[in-house]
Amino acid sequence: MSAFWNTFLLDLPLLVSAAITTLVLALVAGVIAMVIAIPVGFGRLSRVTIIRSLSTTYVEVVRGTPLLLQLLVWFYGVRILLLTLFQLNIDTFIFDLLTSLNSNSLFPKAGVTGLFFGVVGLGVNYGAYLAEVVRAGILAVDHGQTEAAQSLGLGRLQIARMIVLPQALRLMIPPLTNNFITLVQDTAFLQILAVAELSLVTQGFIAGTTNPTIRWGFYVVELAIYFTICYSLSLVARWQERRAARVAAIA
Amino acid sequence: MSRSRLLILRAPARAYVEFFRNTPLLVQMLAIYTGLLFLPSWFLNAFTAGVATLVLNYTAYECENIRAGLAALDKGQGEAAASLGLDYFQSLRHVLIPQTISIALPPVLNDLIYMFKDSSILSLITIIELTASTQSLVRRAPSLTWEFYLVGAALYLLLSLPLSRLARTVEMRLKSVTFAPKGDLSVIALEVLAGGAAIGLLCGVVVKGFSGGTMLSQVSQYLTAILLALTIMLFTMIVLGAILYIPATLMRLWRRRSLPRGASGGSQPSIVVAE
Repeated sequence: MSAFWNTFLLDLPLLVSAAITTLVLALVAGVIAMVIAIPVGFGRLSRVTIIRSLSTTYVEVVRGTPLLLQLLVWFYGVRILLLTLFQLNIDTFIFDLLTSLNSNSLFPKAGVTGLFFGVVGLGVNYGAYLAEVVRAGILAVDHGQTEAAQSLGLGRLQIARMIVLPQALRLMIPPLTNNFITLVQDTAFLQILAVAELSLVTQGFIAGTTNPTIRWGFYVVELAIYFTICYSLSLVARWQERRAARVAAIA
Repeated sequence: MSRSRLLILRAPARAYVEFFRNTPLLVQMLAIYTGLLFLPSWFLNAFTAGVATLVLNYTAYECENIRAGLAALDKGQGEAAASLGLDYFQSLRHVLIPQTISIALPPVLNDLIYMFKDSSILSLITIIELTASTQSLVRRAPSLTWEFYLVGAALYLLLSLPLSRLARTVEMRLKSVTFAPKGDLSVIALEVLAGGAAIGLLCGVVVKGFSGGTMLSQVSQYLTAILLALTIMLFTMIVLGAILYIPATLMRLWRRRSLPRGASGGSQPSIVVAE
């Protein structure tokens, strides 16, 4: 057991930084997903057929294929696509971009592409799921609100931005939190793109030893970290649900 | 079980459900596959580990769905059943479970579609399924990357879109006012489950080739996977349940002991006086 504690204390800073990486990845992917989800969610309810069918296709295709396959497509497929269509080597491009931003020392050259495509892939994947949440939230807003806004002479974009979206967002908070919990769990998939998040870092420690106690110790620590993050988030979600129910009961 | 009034039943169930819902599927699978290597290889191989992980993970999610379904039922239903003289198990079997099924079925079907897509992670522990074979084709012919990826994604869509359409149909049917099941809903659900298992086995046998031997090995592999899942479930329930149960019991004991002292200490009478 002491062998485990020695290794564990030695590797603890790395584990903590990996856990923070996981959280940051989830946050960035979540922001990308939200940026995609709001227009797509409105698009699925649009009266224009092209917009509606495009956004429906996006949602159905992304929700119908596994995340793992999507990440592989982003990492291997898009790289080749950019190379053949635009003669653009994405590895050097992203490296140069980060060099100009003065932060390339943070990542090794090979890992940056995985990080970039991993976050983009996660964001696009969750964009589809969140678009459904957004759509449900918009549908849950009473139609009388839109009519009242129309009678006040607001334009359609104004109604969407100032009347519908604020009310829909409040309804969407509990399902959004639930989706964020699964997003944190799904960052574990980025290990196949060699992104140094919690799962891959622990896997590296585990591969470095044959001592079963140390191996299981690391698994337990890893699972405990994920559990702490996700369980506290789910407590937040439950609290929000209760508060939303209370607000609904008062209103 | 997670609704039980007895803490000794509730603690392991909650611990199991919360643990498997709040940790990544991928990490669970790696932990089971690489962490339990001391088990004999007939009991733990890539197939049984992968299937057992999916079973464990999705059982936890379905538990939560069924619990939500039971919680959504009107409390009067149970009371009415009790007033008709049904005992606890009779009222569960004839009154509560049939209604719960119609509430919990749509989310359960949705989860099954997710599970179908999550089976792609089995490619990471050397199971050759759709993602793994797509990836190996891409490796073999890098110039055809996009074509192979498109075919792989199209196959997934071809399988999952009809499933989600079916789920939506079932949901609409359950919601419609004129819905009247022919026969007992819980029996129908069991029949559907058995049919699904039979179809799964049949597909496995078709892929491996027809013969008594492959049939037997398929059945035994599935049963082994389920046995492995049950073993791990029991283990997590005992270990995590104990971790949850012991502090909760201690807290309860401590509260019970401190309550009368608090009452005699004068804090409670002062509130009464204030009122």
